[in-house]
Amino acid sequence: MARARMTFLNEQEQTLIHEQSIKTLEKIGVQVQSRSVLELLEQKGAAVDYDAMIAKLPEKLVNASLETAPKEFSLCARDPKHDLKFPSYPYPYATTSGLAVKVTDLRTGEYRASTRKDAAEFAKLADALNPVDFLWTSLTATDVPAFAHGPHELWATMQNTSKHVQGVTVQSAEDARVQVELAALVAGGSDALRARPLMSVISCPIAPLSFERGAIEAQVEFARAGIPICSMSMSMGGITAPVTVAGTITNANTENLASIVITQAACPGSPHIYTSESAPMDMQTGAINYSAPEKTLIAIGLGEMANRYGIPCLVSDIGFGDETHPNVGPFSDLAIQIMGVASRTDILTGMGCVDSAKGICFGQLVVDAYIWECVREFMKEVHVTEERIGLDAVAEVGHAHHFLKSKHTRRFMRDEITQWDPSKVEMLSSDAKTVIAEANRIAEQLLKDHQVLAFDEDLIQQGDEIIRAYEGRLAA
Amino acid sequence: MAANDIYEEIMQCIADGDEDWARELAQKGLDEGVSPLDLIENGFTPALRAVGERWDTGSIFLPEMILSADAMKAAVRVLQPALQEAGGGAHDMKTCVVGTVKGDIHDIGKSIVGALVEASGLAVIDLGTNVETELFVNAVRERGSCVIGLSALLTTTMVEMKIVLDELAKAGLRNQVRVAVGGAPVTQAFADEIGADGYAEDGMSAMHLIQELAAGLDPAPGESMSKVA
Ligand code: B12
Repeated sequence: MARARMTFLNEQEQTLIHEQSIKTLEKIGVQVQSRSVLELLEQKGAAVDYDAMIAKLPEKLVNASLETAPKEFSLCARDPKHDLKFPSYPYPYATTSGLAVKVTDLRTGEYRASTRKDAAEFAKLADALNPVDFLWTSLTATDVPAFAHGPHELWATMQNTSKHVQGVTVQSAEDARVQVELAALVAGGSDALRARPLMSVISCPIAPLSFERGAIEAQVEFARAGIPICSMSMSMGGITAPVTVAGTITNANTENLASIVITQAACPGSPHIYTSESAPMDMQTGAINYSAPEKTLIAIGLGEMANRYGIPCLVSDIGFGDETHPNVGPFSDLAIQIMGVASRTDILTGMGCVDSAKGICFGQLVVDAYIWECVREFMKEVHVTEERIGLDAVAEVGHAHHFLKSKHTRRFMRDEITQWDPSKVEMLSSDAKTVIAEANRIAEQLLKDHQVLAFDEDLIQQGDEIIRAYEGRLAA
Repeated sequence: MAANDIYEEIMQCIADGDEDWARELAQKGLDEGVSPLDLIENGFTPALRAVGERWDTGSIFLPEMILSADAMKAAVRVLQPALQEAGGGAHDMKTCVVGTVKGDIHDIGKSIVGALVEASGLAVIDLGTNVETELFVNAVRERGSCVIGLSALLTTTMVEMKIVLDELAKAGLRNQVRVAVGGAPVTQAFADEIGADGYAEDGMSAMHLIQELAAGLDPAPGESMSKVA
């Protein structure tokens, strides 16, 4: 079966990148700002300098970790029909963006600090939209105690979707334990959660080559609970990674390998998703340049590296907002993202995001979902068989005639040729004002009509109690 | 004339961002009897200003600008003792202390602001990321009157900015300093709410803001540069 994918690095180039990553891990090492995680790595064969907090990871350890990291697993959902099997096929799965600090108010249009209520409502909208396969915790609950915002966001999101939820923020091992407790409550216990992980997490190294204490101790905690980890390298070419495409790819690859070693050291066989949100810096301002063509090249290269290791990956985006209201986005973003979706990624993130991932907009989620529904057809499965090629039909039709009345045409036309939904195409092709009005109208309508798979009242109370108890412990 | 030659060389060396050369030229200037203040005011400062203008118009990139600022810094370090000896001028160079607040390790925005402020001619002390409140307070104790630039990229750490302001007040230092705040979740409204003296959204406006705030500081001769040396 055929499926269109971009190719970029040849075998030799991939090998060089892998070897340079191994050399980095063996010679330069990674900084891990946690004594307990350093001890764990030392037990597994790393050479550790506790003063500098540097662990040098031998090739053997990296290879062993790549071996135990599962090649196939699922991100599960409250409603099993939304389970996500990896590797993805034929389309990558698309998820919402996160963890924004601002939201465009759906009713007033005001761009303001987000609340827990916004997080809940946005989750409901994502639940309603078919092309959104699962959810990140998308909005910061700025109205709850700051140290407990992660559990609040996870809990508000889980209650408002029956799809899988990926948490974007965690501050410490204890925070991780609280999040696991919440997910286990829904799954029906910790064994049930391990068997069907209803949540997964984003865990970021600090480029270049460093792991912050809170995040990495949380990662170990999650891995032990069987929660899949996305080790999101945010390598910024020119700032936190070498400026070159090859240098940025190698840095992100190295950080992912180190993170996989940590997950596997914590719990061999624990699922891990190779993840990157890397791009060059904007040469003028030093901000991340999410509109650079090189961002897509980096994504395609990293997708190839992950494929080479056989580890599922999240390396590319789908999300077009650059204003604070719904829009189809500038040409540059459209171009590079549409190229990027055809990388070998298993997951695309970014839906609903505006303002360089600082904001979330309800109408933007509608726009992004519609675009994705159209664009993903480029990646559909195409069967190349004698039957589909149709020589019988060719013989039957003969020279200089047409296939309009051929059985072959009737047999395959619906299945083979994409019909984009005309109303969606029309909306996306409208002028800016119409896009805003329509996208917001659709978002409001969906929020009014959609019913989320019911969530047990008792569970809600128990979960609220877990969070309250956590807040109490921290306040004390 | 020797002095003119050296100013041309300084112009070139700052444009190249060549630290070693900058140090050499500073020493050479002193050896040739040019006053340290002249070297700064007629040499290094206009050279860096020219680089800043080129960056502003997009003809050079940020990394080049930062290297140029570093070269200037290296030269000033060489000139420092002579300046103090001469007892004049540059020790009323205003200081800006920058840092990312406690619990927050986002480094990039803060570092860019620091580099730009430095390029604009202020002395910059970068306390790094995840900075304990106490370190900001200590820096003010040591430096005296200065601008503090606080950066926070997380909603969880924005509150630390308020704590820094409170601690400065408690230590009786609040009116010696001007506090600027910035970072992704920070807004003008938040800055007002916590009683900061200014907010800026990006590097360029941060630089202008901090320059303005520095200009408003009481000139505190003898309190800044000379005190720590
Ligand atoms: C790169 C990045 C990281 C990198 C940082 C690398 C580094 N060495 O600094 C890494 C990967 C380490 C990281 C980690 C995390 N991050 Co982060 N990160 C970002 C990202 C994408 C860009 C930040 C950046 O560098 N921008 C480029 C610079 C140039 O811009 P800037 O920082 O805004 O600075 C400019 C202005 O703000 C201003 N300014 C800045 N400081 C100051 C100071 C003064 C005085 C003034 C006047 C002006 C000023 O001028 C600067 C220059 O133009 C932002 C999203 C975003 N678009 O901001 C998220 C973001 C800030 N991170 C976020 C999150 C969630 C995290 C993590 C919790 C993720 C995790 N799951 O582990 C951790 C937290 C770690 C910690 N304890 O701090 C969220 C914050 C959400 C929230 N509720 O607070 C954001 C908004 C992304 C998102 N939408 O999810 N992150």
